[in-house]
Order: sequence, then C-alpha cells, then structure tokens
Amino acid sequence: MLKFVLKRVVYMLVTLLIIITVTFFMMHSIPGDPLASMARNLPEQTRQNYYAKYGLDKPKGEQYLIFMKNLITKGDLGESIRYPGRRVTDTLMTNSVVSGTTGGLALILGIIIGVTLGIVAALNKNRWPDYVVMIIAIMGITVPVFVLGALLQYFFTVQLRVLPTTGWGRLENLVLPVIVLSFNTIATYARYVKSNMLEVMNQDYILTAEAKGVTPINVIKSHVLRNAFLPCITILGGQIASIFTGSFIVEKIFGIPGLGFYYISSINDRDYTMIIGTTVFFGALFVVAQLVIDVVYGILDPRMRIKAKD
Amino acid sequence: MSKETKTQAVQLDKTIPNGAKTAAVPPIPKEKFTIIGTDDFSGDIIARPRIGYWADAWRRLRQNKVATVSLFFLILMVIMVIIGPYLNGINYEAVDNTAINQAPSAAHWFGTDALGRDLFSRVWQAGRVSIAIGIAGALIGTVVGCIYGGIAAYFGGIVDTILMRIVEVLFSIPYLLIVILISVITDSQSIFTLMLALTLTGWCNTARLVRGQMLQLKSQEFILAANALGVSPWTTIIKHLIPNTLGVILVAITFDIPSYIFSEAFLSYLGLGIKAPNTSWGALASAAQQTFAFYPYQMFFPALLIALTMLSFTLLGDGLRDALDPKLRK
Amino acid sequence: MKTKRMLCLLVSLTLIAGLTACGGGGGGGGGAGGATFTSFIQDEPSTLDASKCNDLYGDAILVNVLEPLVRLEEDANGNNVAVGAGAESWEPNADGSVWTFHLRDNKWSDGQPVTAEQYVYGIQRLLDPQVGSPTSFLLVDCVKNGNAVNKGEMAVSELGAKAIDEKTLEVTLEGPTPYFLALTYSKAMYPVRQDVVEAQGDTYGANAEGMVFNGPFTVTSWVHNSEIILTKNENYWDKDNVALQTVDFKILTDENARYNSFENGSLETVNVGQPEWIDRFNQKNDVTFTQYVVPAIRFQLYNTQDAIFQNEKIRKAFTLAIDRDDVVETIYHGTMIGAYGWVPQGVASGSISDYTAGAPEPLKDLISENGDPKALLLEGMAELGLGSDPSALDITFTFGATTQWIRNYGEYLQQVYKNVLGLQIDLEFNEWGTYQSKINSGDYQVGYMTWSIDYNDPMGMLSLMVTGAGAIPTGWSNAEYDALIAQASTEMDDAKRQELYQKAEYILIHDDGVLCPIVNEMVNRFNYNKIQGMCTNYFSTNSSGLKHVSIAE
Repeated sequence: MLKFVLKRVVYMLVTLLIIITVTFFMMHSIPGDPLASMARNLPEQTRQNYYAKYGLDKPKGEQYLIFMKNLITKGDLGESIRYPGRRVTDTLMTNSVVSGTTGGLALILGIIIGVTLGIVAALNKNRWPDYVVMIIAIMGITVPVFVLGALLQYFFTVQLRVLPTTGWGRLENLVLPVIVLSFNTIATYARYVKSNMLEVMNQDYILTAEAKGVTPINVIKSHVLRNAFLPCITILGGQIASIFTGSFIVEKIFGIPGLGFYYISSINDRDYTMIIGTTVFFGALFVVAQLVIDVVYGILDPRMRIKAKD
Repeated sequence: MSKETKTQAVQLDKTIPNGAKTAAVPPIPKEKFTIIGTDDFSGDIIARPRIGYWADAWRRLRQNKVATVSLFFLILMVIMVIIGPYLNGINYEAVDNTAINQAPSAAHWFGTDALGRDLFSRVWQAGRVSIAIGIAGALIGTVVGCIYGGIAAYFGGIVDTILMRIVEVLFSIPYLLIVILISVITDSQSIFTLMLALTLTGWCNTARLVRGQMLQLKSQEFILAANALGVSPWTTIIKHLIPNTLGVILVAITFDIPSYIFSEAFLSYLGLGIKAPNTSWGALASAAQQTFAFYPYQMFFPALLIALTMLSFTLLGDGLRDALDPKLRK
Repeated sequence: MKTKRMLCLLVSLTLIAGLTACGGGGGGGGGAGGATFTSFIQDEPSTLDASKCNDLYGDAILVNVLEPLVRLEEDANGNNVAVGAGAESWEPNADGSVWTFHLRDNKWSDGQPVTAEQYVYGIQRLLDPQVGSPTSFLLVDCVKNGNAVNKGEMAVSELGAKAIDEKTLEVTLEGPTPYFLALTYSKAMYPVRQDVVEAQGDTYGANAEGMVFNGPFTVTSWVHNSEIILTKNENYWDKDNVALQTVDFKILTDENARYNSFENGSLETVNVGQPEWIDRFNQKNDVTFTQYVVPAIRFQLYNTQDAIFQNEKIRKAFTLAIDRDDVVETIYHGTMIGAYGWVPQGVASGSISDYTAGAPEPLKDLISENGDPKALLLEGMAELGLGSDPSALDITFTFGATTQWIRNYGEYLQQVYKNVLGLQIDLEFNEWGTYQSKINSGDYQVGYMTWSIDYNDPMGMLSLMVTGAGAIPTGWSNAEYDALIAQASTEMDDAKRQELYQKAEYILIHDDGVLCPIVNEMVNRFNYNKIQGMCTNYFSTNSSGLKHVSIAE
C-alpha cells in the first residue's frame, strides 16, 4: 500500500509538471496580453515599461524557467498582473476557503438529499416516488444555475425579504448560494445511486445473502449501498477539486468573494500568473483526489484493490 | 426502513412462475390422461426462434410503455424542429421594432424577444441545433469515454496509469483556454470546430466512471471465465464489460445531453460554432437571463423544451437500461 | 453513527474556517455611529495605488480618499466649477507653460502633514519607467521631460515638477497646455507618500492595511471582490463639511443582484441600464431619478486599409445606414442618446462648459447631404470597380465581446444592413484579448468600440486620431487634421481653440468618414430620497465623489 501511494505521488508530480508546462505555453500562445485586455491601446512606451516591470519582455522559455524556479525553490506563484501587489498564493488561500465553505456545504447537503432520494427511487422503482425523484433530478440538471440563483434571490430577498441579497461573512449569506449549488449534486447523486442500486440488487451475491436469510435492511446496508456508491465516489473525486475553485456564476450573483471569479477572469484578463496559479491549484487538488478515489475503491470493494505491482 | 419496503426490495426481481401455486388443486383422475408415445426428435426442436441480444433488447424495449411513449415524443420533437419554424408564417430572424418583448398572443404564440423576433419560430429553429448537438456530443463523448475507460480498466497497470494521468491533465487545463486556442487555430465558424471544442474534454467524466465500474467488474467470475476461454480483450470489453456498465453509462448520457446543449451556448458566446442569426436553446435561455424577471416566457419555452427533451431521453434511457441489461434477459 | 458525528464536525469546521477567513469585512454597515451610505462599484478595483490604478472602480474609491490639487464641484445652478482642494490657489504664467499651486494645510490619516514634495512624488511615480504605470500617457507629453523620463533616458528628478517649498508646487510643462487644469482633477496628480510606498514595497495598494489617506474618507476595510468600507477622515482639512460617517461600497458585478439590492433597500443608489427596471423603480415614491450624459462614445471604426473600406463613400454609406433614433429606441430603449460627432456631450473646453453645445454636428450634415445611403454605396463600389450588386460584397463586423447583448446588437445590425443596403454582413464575436490583437494588426473590416474620455477637454478624444497615436487603429492619416490638432494643443484662447477642434472633428467624421459614432452613453441613476447632495453630472461625480453627500434623518 505504502509503495503504491509513494509511486502515485511521483506520478502526481509528473502530471502536475505537464499541466503547468502545457498551460504555460498555451496561455502565452493565445492572442492578447494583460495590458491590452486591461484597458485600451496604450502608447508603445507605456507598454514597454509595463512589460519590463512584469518580465513579459523576456523570451517565453526564460519566463518559464524563472517561473518554475520560483515555484520549486520558494513555492511562489508570483504576483498577479491584473491586480498589482497581490501574491497569487495569498489570493488562492484566502478565496479558496470562501469557495470551499459554500461549495463544501452544498456538496454535503446535495449528497445527503441526493443519496436519500436515490435510495427511495430505487426501492420504489416505477411507482410515484420514483417519478417524483426523476422530475426533481431533471429540474436540477435543466434549470440553469443563473436562473435558479436569480429566481431564489428575487423571491427570498425582494419578495419575502427574509435573507440578505448579497454579501459574505454571516450565516444568512450562505443559505441561498448553498441551496443553488446543491441542486445539481442532488440530481446527480439521486440518478446514479438509483441506477446503481438497481444494478447491484440483481447481483448473485445479493441473492445469496437474501437466501441465507440476511434481513433485507442489512442486505441493503452492507451489500447494496456499499457497491452502489462506486460511481458516486468517482463523481465526488471530480467535485472535490471544483468546490475549492468555486462557481463563477453563483459567486457573482450572490457577491461571494470566492475563487470562481479569478478562475474565469484571469483568462479573460490574460493575467498569466493568476491563470497558472489557479490551474496549479485545481490540478493539484484534482490529482490528489484521484489518488484518494483509487484507494477508496479498494476499501469499498476488496476485489478492486490495486496491487502494489501496478 | 419499513418492513414493507424491504419485502418489495426482495421481491423486486424474483420472478415466481405461476404454476408453482397449485398445491390446493384437487388431484386429476387417471382416466383423463392418454399415452401419446415418444418422439425421438422433439427435444431438438427449438420452440421459439433464437433471439440475439439486440433483437431481444428491442423486443423488451417495445414492451415498456413509458419508454415507447418517450420514443414517440422524441420523434415528434424532431418533426417539430423540422416543420416548426414555418408553422406560423413568421421568419425566425425577422426583426420587428413594433413588437418588442411581447407576451404570448394569437400573433406570436410564444411571444417575442428583445428585438421583436417571433419566439415560436425561433424556439423550433433553435431546437435543430440543440438536439443535434446534444445527441451527437453525448454519443461521441460516450463512445470515446467507454473505450478509453474500458481499455484503462481492462489492461490496468502501466496502461491504466498513463491513460488516467492524461485524463487528469486534460481535466486540469482551463477549458476556456483550450476553447480560445481552438478558435484561434481553426476556422472558428465550422461545425467541426464546435464539436471538437465540445467533446475534447467532455468524454473524460464518462471515461472515469466507466473505468471505476469496470475495475469492479474485471475481477468478477464471468470475466475470468472469458479470459480463461481466450476471448480477445477487445471482445471482452465490448461484449461483456460495456453491457454490464450500461446503467451508469445511460445515466451519464442523459446528463450529457443537457450539458452539451448548455455548453454549446457558452461556446457560441465565445464566437465558436453557430452563426447569428441562427440560434439554439441554450442561446435563447441565456438571452432571456437579464430580463427574465419581466419576460419570464422568454426563458420558459426554451427551458421547457430542454427539460422535456431530457425527460424523454431519461425515460427512454431507463427503458433501454432494462432492455439491454444482460442480467434481466429471460 | 461515527461517520455522522464526523460529518457534523466537518460542517462546523468548514463554516468556522470560512467565516473567520473573511476577516473584518463582515458585520455590514460598520460599528461607528452616524450616517452610513450603502453604495456600489461594479467590479473589483485592480489596486488602490494611484499610480497604477487604471479602472473606473478604483477611481471611484480614490477620489474619496485622496485629495487632488483641484476638484470639480457643482455650483447652485448645477454648473461645474474648479475649486481648490489640495491647493488653496493656483496660477499659470503668461503663456500657460508653468503652473504654480499653493497648497493648503492638510494632514494624512496618520497625522503627517501634506507637502508639495508628495505631489511631486506622485507625478514622478506615474512617469517612472520602473513603476510601469498604465496611466503614464496622461502626463507623458505634457509635463516637461516627461517622455525622456518615461523612456528611462533621464532621471525622474529632471521632470518639470518641483516643490519650491513645503506648500508650493511648481509644474513646468513642455509648452503652453490649455487643458492642463483638467489634468489636475483627473487621476494623474494625486499625492503619494514615499515613506509608505517604500515601506510596503510591491504590495503597496493591494490591501487597505498600512495605507494612508488625505481625502474626506479613509479605507478601513477591503474584502476583495466583496466590499470596501470607507470611514470619515478626522484629519481632513474640510471635515466639517463631510456629513457621512461611513460609506459601504459593495462590489456587485451582477446586474440583477444590484437591482434586487436597490429594490429591497440594501443599496441606497443604483445605476440602471434596463428600461424595465427604470419603469419599476420610477413607481417607487421614495426615490429620485437622475439622468446625465457620460463622455463616452460607442462607435464603429473602419479599417481604411481594407480593400472595400478604403473608399470613403462606402464608409459613409455604412455610417448613414444606421438610424440613430432607431438604435436608441430598439437597442437602448431610451437609456442612451444618439451621437452625431466624435466629441461626446458634456465635455468642457476651457471656459466653454459644453463643447458640443456650440459645435455643428458633423454627422447631421452628412445625413442631410446624402438622402440615400445605398446610392452612396453603389457610387463607392463603382469607384472601386466592385460592380453594382451590394449582396456580392463580403463584409464582416468584428466585435470585442461575447455577451448576449452584443450578439443581439450584431443581429440588429445584420437586419439594418440587409434592409438599407441590401447586403448580408457576417458577425464575428471575439473575447476582448483576441479582438484587441485583431484590430491592432489590421485584421478586420469594421470594428466596434466604446471610448470614454480621459480628461475634461475635447483634446482627450481628438488627439486619439492623430497620425501614429495608435489608440484607434484605423490606418487613417490626414496631414491637415494633424496640423489642426497640433495648433489647438498650444492655443490658449478658448474660442480659437474651439474653432480648431471643430474643423478637425469635421474632417474626421464628415469629410473622411473614418469613424461612425452611434450613441453617447448616459447614466440612469436612482437614489433613495434620504440621500442628498449627490452630483448631477459626470465630471463633478467623478471629481468630488461623496464629499458633499448627506443622509436626511
């Protein structure tokens, strides 16, 4: 196990290196530059001074080496170009906590409701609870987040006036964004849990357990759910990373100072250091999550345990 | 969990033959039987024609009423997007500044948009793009994802490691960056560019899901048996592993369709794909976003059609799942 | 059971982490007693470093927390007057090339006195190539030796800005500069504290902590992308005339969120771009509606090096095909006004309070001279030997945005050109960075842009089109135009300068038809009646800020 994890850590670092390198050269090959995107056409001298200030006048290869050197030796992702004076690492740390709080709560809420609905639907296949769950799931997927967010904001903060419209720092500020963000998760988990439970309930080992007289509730608890969670774990692995990078739209609607804003705007602004920073951050989280998933696979289903020789 | 649900759960797939419940019937008198002798060949005659996997699936799908209705609904939808734009005689691209933001009426059945264009015609015109993109995207994503995930899981080891690391790289590079680059390099107006941008990373999720499921299936007895009998890896993946992961795959497809429909709107924003004045459901929904507190119908109709399309795909998908599931074959 | 407890723990932990992480920003309107005004800015300011800030959002904060030499304020009739702020009085020499400012006694928020040296440092920093200021262009051609310093050929001490003593600032210019006073109340000339800049190094301006201010307010908290809180500056020289105790600037990028916030009172003022919301807010009986023009023009630019648009008749035909009244009606629903010249409304020219009021509108003449744009197009096509079928022309409009709004607008233009000129234009939407590089490399036929003036003088617009300026890359060059602008830039007589400006503008829009002005932007502002003393025009709003705003009890 330890050998497996160690090996994977090495792979992780290689993967991250590839991600950084590819992103670095990709972002420098798209047209536009931070200054042009920030404002209008400026005189040539202004542009040159500005480029020199941020080291953008050096050849790309040299810029890349400087960046890698700072990252590896100092763990430094540099200074934002669009927001002078802000360290990218500071921005990542501060804002990811905000995104993580809203996203994390939404994920937990979504999983609890989604899994419950999925189980209910599976146990009541082709009867009304199944159809109700189906309709909830379809709404969760087809109603765009910007519609749901705007609707809830209008209803709760303008019509009922029970919640604050925007802002951050108080518990009430969390309610609406968390609900909006959880919708998609509810739908996803409900559908996957239902589908996989039905599948697992047909398996021979479940029939065997039933035949042996294991009570149905125990069959579901210790055999069906355990195995039905597998796709949920896969999905969760993708989601964990995303909750820290946040949702651009939801954060915008509710005025939440999260990371979602930087993830999108850095590209539009050609804020090179911030693009790389957010990418490294997301990449690292995602890659670690994949490792955790593979380990969890093994815990959930002993047959899937990946051997050290792999 | 109540006792009721538990019994339902247990009975769910137990098929008890009707003949088993005959204990109370009185014995039949002997004289009612006659000896008809034996026929040496009767054992070799196959009572029903041999039905292949796909033919059987099709038969079972037709028996599923909900799925059949969904299928008909989808066909109806396709017919509507073909003829819909011509039904009320108003061109979908005609700007009319005397009829801006009108509510549904006899003249404009679904109302008009911010430029006074007829939404009924626009909604069906938009459906052409959206349905095509939704289905094509989901199909490409699924086929690529299944094969990729299947190969990773089946071969395992170094193959799995490399393939999954590639997925991680693709997943981590900002999508927006990829899209901008594609639009710069290629002819940004072609449908091929749009499909490329849509599916370039779209299959990654399916691949991860399929791999997860297959890792589990791989160690099951029937795969071991297939291996022992010398079935080629390709055949094993296609014939044994994929059919057994269909449940997850079909759910993934039904999620993919609306997500491709919305992604298309996002990409059209960035200047990729469909050209104005042509439009799509996602684009219509986004267009209605800013003023939907005032003109909710501009949002309602495209959103409704997306939801109905997805509903029928989902129900059809559930029907297909039951029909294609090898374990449910009778 | 165990997992459940773990879950609870996790939830509470993330909650606490998230809530504490956001720091002092919480708590809403601030603890101090007195009047709190809740306002908004539409996006996150890039920095509070006056030498590096180049967005409107940062400007909106800086004007409230730093003291420029001069502020533009409204008199009782709503006319703008330049009044002393950091400077008590000022005088130019005879030819307008040396300006002397006498500073008044003022203190920074940390108690230090405000000196002429700090204004000099502000100017030096703007032009210092090491700083790389994106707004250095405001002073580079104006202050003596500005260009050489900005190129790194001279030390910053060679600049024409000197502190004669603690309270006297002398600025020497390259030559007579009639519009120099307009620069003193733009963002170019704020005082900067050298000791604070050096103490904070690269992070200066990135956060509120450690910054010092000498304006009516100080920044007490800045939660990035969420809100900026200002508190009254007790060291300010004119603090007796500052009524507000606290200003809460919420950073709200979402338009609907702003409207919802104003609707339920959590914002006390809002700018509205949608007619539906204007109608709705107008039904409220406790709000005031103010509409004023913004000196910003939305226009089409033609690539004069293009095979088709090299012909001025074709350019003019495309300009004339657009009915500005219809654009205002269909696209803007009356929230903007049609533009018929290159200099926007509301721009002062020395003692002339609105340049456009006395100027003939070049586009109106063009319209009355040419009844049929299609005939003009056919003439142009004949000159170029392109035949007589407009629909055979291959024309693409390039836009630098991808929003739904711009798409709608493009589709509107498609219909207009189809109906008026009988041709189908193609639309191309790029995100801004891509667009910018296309326009700059001349890879376009017709582009679309908005330009908002940098300082309160027509020169701010007209100098953009001088040969080699590069700001609006149309490839156009006209010697007569260049000469007129050069002459105007040193002409100290307001009436004579006005005439030169008008001639130049006429060449640009009427004779050569290089640009196609479409609309002049407007602000449609609502505020609750209890908020009083808000400015009623663009330059006073941006120059006096919230200094004179009060809240009625």
